[in-house]
Amino acid sequence: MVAIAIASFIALAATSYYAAMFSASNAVRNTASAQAHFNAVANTLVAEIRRSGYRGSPTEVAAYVATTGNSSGTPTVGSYPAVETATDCALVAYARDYTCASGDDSNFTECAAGVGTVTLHYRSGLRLSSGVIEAVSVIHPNQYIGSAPVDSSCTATGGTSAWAPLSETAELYFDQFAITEQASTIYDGDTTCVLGTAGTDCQSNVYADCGDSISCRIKRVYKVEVCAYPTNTDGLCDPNYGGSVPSGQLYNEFFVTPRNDVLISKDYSS
Amino acid sequence: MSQSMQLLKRECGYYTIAIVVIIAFLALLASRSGTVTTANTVKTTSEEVAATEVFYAAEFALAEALIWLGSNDATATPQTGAGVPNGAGNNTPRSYATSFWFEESGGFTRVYARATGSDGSSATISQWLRAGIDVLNTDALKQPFGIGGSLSGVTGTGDVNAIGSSGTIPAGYYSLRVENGESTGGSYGNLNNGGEAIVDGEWSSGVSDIWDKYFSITRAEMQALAATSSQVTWVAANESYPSQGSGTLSSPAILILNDCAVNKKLNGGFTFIGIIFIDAGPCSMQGWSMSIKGSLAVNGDITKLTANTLFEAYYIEATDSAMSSGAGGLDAFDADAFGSTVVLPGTWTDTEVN
Repeated sequence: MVAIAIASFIALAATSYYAAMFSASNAVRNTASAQAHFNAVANTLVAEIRRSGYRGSPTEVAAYVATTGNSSGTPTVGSYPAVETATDCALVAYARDYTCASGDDSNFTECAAGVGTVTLHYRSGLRLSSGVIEAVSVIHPNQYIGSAPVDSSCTATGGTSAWAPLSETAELYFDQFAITEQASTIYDGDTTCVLGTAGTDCQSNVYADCGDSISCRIKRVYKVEVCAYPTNTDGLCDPNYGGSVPSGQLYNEFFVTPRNDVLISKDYSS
Repeated sequence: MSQSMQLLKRECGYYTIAIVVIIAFLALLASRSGTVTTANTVKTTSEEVAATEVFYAAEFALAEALIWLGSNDATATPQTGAGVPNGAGNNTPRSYATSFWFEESGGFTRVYARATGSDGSSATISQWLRAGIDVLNTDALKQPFGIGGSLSGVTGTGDVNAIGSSGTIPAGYYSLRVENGESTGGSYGNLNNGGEAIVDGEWSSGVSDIWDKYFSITRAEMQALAATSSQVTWVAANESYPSQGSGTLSSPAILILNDCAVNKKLNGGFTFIGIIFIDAGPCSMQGWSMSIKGSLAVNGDITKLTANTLFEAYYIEATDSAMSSGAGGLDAFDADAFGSTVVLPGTWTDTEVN
């Protein structure tokens, strides 16, 4: 009887300790795991936007800028826009080194030129789809001589879609993912004055002049909103953390600026 | 009850305790396992924060590199930056060492900046640079006093200091320069009265507008540059003159004054380092009282110079300087300091990609 009593006491103590530790540990782990998933999305997006618009060496920048301009009074930013946004989706483009493989001569003009390592524009991005954040990272479709083998557009679906899940709804349900252009400053690319600034040479210039009579550099600020929670139900996010906020909601609103300005070259032919 | 049965009962109790202890031990092990898993999950989150932090430290290193380049030549030898200390009140013991180096290629310079954390994290970023607009003409600093006309009415005891310890003025340099045919052979009233000999020169025949002798860009370009550069100040004809000096030895200034009305003057006794260009004339400099290291240019005749303005060439060392700077004179400055390095847009990247 004494042994049973002692054993029961030990078992009770151990069980209580285990239960308490398991409960506390589980809560911390769930919170940390959710935050890790949440931060991974935010950090990935920040890093991608930050490096967007990288065009390579000065020679490659000059070649890229030559593809920009102005079409019928509308500035054009070339074939590889630094940042493209759509509902629940953001795509960025930047240059990366690429080693041409067998068969790439028919894929990329750069490889057909006979150089082993070339600089190609890549496209990467994030989008929200049914509570899951999906990611894409491919060679930019406009880089191909023909059509790209996979669909990396924001609306891609089915077997040709290049998008892959970055999160799991079992861990965290992403309810909101929005990226919008919050502000932009347009500089005259030659004089560096801000368009429309009184008392300067470019006080009468506007965005529509970019690529036409003047070259421009555009510095943009993007606002990103991400909201997620553990509950697998759509539309519960409460950014204001009011009375209806779901348990475990994670909400973040942050701003990020690409380190490379958007470049538009004026028309030197006229 | 037999003795053997009694022993067996006692042993059952020991077995019970032993089994429970083992189960308890296993429970503790399971608990520890859960704790370790939790700790690892938390650590992952913490490392994501550290990765972001080290990146910003690398951006700090890039800023350090650009500042360093302002007064040094680009070099492939890694330079050590000041680093980023662990912030006060920050419980996470992370500080960052910073370094930067340069590669030159085809007239461009690529700067690499790296931060290495005390926790072993590291980030490297790079940016291409090109030489900025070199706004100065090669003649700009060859005379401390440049005049697009003639100099007369010098009743003040102004001084031009253009001769250093060598005792001679450099070849092709002058104390002052005037319009062609306006040289007086070194005699300008009280100018340099008792001071060094004046070596005067003349601009080429036909030159009366000396803007192009000082600057390689147009007036409009200079005005635009003034809108974005802290080194350049553009004062329109209807605006007041500055009431204090500007410019430093590492970052000399350019001041463009677009009129010289009688009541306008620089007379605060202050020091200006760089170039002052008065784009007007004829001018009366009555009441001027200041010191300029670099050059003062007046784009027309000067009819009066009544006070104690000091003109000193940029290359005069502190030991020969007549300008006050603490216990000694004002040191020379590098004419290249007017040049600037411009970040080439579209070329910022991190080595996570390339």
